Amino acid sequence: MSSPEQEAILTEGAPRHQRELQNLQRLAMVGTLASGLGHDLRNVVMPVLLRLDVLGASTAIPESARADLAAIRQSVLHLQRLAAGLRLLSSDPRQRSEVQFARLDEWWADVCPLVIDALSSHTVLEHSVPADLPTVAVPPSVLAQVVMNLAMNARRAMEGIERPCMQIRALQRDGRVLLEVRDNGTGMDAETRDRCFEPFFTTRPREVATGLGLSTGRALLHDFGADVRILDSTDEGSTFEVSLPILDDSAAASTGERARTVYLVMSDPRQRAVVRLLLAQHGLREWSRDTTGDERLEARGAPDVVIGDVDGLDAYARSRAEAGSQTLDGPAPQLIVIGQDGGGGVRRADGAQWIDARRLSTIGELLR
Amino acid sequence: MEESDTFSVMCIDDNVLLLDALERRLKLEPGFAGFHRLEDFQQAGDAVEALQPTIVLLDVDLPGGVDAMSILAEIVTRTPTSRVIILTAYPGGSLLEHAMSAGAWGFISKGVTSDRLIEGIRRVVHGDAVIALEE
Repeated sequence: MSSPEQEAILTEGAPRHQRELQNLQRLAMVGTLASGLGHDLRNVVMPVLLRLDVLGASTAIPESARADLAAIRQSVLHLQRLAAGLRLLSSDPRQRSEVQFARLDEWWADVCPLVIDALSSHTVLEHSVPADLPTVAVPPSVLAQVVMNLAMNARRAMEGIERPCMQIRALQRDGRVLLEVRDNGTGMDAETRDRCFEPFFTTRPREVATGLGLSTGRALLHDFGADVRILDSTDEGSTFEVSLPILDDSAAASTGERARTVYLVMSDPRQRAVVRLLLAQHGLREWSRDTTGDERLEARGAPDVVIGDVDGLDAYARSRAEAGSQTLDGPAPQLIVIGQDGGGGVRRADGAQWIDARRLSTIGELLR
Repeated sequence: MEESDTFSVMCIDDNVLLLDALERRLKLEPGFAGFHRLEDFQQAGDAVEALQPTIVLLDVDLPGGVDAMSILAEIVTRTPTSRVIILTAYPGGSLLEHAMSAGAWGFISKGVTSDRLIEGIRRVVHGDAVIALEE
């Protein structure tokens, strides 16, 4: 039995929860729309690019028209970038299949067109995202969601400003990569500064805002050891700082070693292609070029991890035995055998871990 | 297979814009020997067995509730000499892993450039497996 006060709170709270539910539904719908639009863009852009190839190869096209063709291609490639950016916005970063790290310069190439579109047409966007920054251990989709949200907030803060300008600057400091997002808008009042990361807090009418953007973005960042905070906010503008962990540092911290070398020994090129992709998604970019398993290993040195099918691991074991301990010094590598039947003798004999060929996406769990 | 060897392509997709453009583009490729398209996706397995294309480009988002993964399984079983490349405008999720472990030779997003699509087809013709996602 609730007290009259509790009943009053429940009665007053009901419409608010309803609004919040509606806001969440609207947010989900926007995600679906972004995904659908990206899908349709891809279906339209690919035929246009193929037709441009055909036109470009034609000798009947006058030289004067080639510049037009090149300009059309650039425009269409811009649309393709938009489709890639929409995918980043609508994907779930917690899914295992999503890439778990980002090179900021490559990420920015995808996201920049979306940010430009999110700002008003007379806003100047200044950006500095150097190519030599270390890779960060945060999915590109998380970064896209956070920065897009900051850009949309910046747009509103800059409404009515004579020369609106947004700046994005990436730099490395104290073992982190920092992404500074600055605008020259009207800044935030004290309450907004204090509460802007709270769920459902918004300065705008509920009909147009969910108040979930920054809080969701920050929660996602926290999942990956990253964060966003306000550096400053005055009547001359606001600066947010997104702090990101460096991939190699986190890998080194967890293993206490250098970046690992992975050696692939499998005969099926299809399996190899999938494993390579999965390794790349976990930030492991080193693997052997030749993967047939029949080459001697002396020239390569000892790998940290060997992944292969049963025959490949057998061949590896023979190569290692033939090479001898002098040429392959160091700790024994982690062995992962891909199979359909529990790995058979390889697992038992060599302490290899087994992974089901139909569930290769779990390979990241073995590599941690 | 050498560069000069011939190859044919069947494209199982309901996007006529893509079918027409791809056929025109492939005609520029050395060794290109023929382009097939399907009216009835339910008959894909029969058509592939009858025509024996070198490459089958298979869209995963087919109309009428046709299950592309079933088509893939049928082709792999009945006509293993035809190599299937999944061509999709929905490149995320677990589809890639399912398709490749079910016997697809390639997984290419429609969000890549035309050069990467053509290169991907060529590489699968030559016996490589190809995964080409967004730019």
